[in-house]
Amino acid sequence: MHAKEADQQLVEEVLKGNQSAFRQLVERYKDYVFTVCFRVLQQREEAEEASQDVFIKVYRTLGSFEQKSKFSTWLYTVAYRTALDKVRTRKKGNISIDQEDNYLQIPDQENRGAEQLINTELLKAQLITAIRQLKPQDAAVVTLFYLKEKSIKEIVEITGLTTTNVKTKLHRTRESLRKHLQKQLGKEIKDNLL
Amino acid sequence: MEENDLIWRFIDGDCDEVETKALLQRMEEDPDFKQAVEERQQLDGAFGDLELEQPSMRFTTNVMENLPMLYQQLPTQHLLGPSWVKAFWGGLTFLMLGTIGIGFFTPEAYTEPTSNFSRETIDITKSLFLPYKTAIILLSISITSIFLVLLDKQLSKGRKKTA
Repeated sequence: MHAKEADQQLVEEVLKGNQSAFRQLVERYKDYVFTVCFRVLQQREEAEEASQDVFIKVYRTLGSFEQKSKFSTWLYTVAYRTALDKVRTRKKGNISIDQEDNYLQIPDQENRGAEQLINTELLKAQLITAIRQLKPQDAAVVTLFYLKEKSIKEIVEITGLTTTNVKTKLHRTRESLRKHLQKQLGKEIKDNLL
Repeated sequence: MEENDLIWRFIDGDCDEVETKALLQRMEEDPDFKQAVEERQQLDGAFGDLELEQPSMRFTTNVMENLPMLYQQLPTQHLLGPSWVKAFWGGLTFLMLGTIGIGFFTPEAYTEPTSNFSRETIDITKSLFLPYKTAIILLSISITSIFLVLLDKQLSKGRKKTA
């Protein structure tokens, strides 16, 4: 059965009072929702709390879901907004989420040293670390792009950004990650050679 | 920067035919450019291969426990248990037999024929061992109860079909 139709049927069942149908939806999407929240919030406990809030909010407002878009798109929209709201209300020395110094910067100069992105597992490990250093919104956009859906149109719907904005963020974020990884992995290669 | 954007657009499949052709040609001619494309393709692949993060084992349970009671589940079973239904039918049968049937054996219920052409008739009001009005009320309650039980059965069947 097509995923969209399966989700739709489960939603209808939930609205009839069938809570086990909602359990199925939670099981189906919990990893995706948690991934989005975790990449934005960067803390496991907070991400878990936020993810639970997402599902409870979705349950409360399920009656108002008009099914014009996919259920998953709507779910990720709630996840995205919930995670960003939590970042904003976080009391971490009053650091603004837009404060530049704490996040990965795009370096002024090209770094085309001898480093190569060679070892896939090492790359993935470094990538996860690097994503944690992104701005919350950038981390969310890049995470949503590489989730199953991978559609710019859906990311636009989820984030409320324009298509151009999403594409620009995506390109810049990936480019900054690439440069950061080059530096990190270059260090690792050099350390291994010594 | 524009070159990097072009490479990412190529990787995302957003380039048109002309741009794709030009890019592929440049990759053949320029090894540095080819390396730049391959690095980004490798990164794109690594992104796609990243595993999903997983919440705790109790996550679903925690969510379900905290759900508000919003949507009422329609009952799919009978409102009355089977033993209650049996007791009801038994009691009703006894009541109806006692109200109407036994009364036919009451000698006072039979009236004498008034002429040669009439027959012995039964005066229903005297055939009852209960007062007439009481019998009528009990009969009405019995018929209403039968109607409600049958309606419940019918509605339960309907709920089972839609559930």
